[in-house]
Amino acid sequence: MNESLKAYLDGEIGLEELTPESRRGAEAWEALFSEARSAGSAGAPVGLESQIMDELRASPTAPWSRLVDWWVHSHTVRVRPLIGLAAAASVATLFFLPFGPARPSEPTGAATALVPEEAVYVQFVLEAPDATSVAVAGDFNEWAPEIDLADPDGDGIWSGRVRLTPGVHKYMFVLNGTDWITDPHAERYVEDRFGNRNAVLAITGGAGAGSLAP
Amino acid sequence: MRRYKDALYRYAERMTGRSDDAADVVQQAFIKGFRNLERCRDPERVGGWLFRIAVNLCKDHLKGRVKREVPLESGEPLRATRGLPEEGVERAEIREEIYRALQALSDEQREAFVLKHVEGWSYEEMAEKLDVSVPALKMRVHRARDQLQELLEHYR
Repeated sequence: MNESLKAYLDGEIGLEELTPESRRGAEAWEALFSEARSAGSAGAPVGLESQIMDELRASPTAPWSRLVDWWVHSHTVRVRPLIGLAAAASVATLFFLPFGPARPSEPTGAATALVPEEAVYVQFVLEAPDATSVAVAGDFNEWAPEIDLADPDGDGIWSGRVRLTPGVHKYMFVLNGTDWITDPHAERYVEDRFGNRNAVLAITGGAGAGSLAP
Repeated sequence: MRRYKDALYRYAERMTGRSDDAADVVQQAFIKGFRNLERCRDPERVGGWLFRIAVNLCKDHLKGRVKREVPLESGEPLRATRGLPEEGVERAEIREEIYRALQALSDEQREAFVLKHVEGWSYEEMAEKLDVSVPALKMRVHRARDQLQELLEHYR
């Protein structure tokens, strides 16, 4: 291998600095590198993640085990007042319906008013015309991609209602059982320490129907 | 975890040459990372930090293992090629040969080659993370390329 080709492969000079012959050599090497990137498995085997989670939960360092969920899913949530959050619901959360008994009309304590006990139904909607299945997973169901959305008319708009308790929830959509994607229309996002970008949904009950809240 | 497990696994598989060993390495990397989370100085770069843990685990793993001979012309295929179009079969076979050729390199050469040309690290990054000088790493990469050239001559 000549010195200029070696220098190119080491990233010291550009392709344009090579002679035509060296350039052909460089291209052959680049092709080999590219094939090497594709050699081997495409990714970790199915089940490895849950195996690791089981191992972490069974960790002898018991006090740490409480942080497992934080390690995998939790984030620093900085919630600011959400102005105009009706729009914030965007495509992901089109509407809420009250769940459970009607809210009593008599005055309630402040804490109750801010964090009501009633759960609400939240409608999750995602446009994914190429998906064969869409599910929603979040901290409200241990991040299990098992809440399936439906697209009965085949127009690529998947939707489904999920019963949620008031509070701040994080979620992602799961396409085709494997591809985790962030809701593109969420109002708010948080990054976890692995670089995942989760959508944030904050719910508090209002008089009558549920509503979004900081 | 979702974001990094595949990249860590691919690296570990290339380094160890075995899927079960690669899974072990990834599992250990996450567990070690979790237990030492407070040592991660820059949470924004946790991916690089985990990768470094995996690199070291691969190194430890290989140290404790007797070097296996990986003949280029034998062994079971890594992936089934049945049903692939002719061109696909040919490419799968080429990748198979490359994969086996990588396994025939010394551990140090394979580590240097994979980090440089497969993972795309700079020599400076490699030197920092492996604690090896840039000239020494260049030498390993050059030797790895020379050996691969020899092993894969009939494909070039």
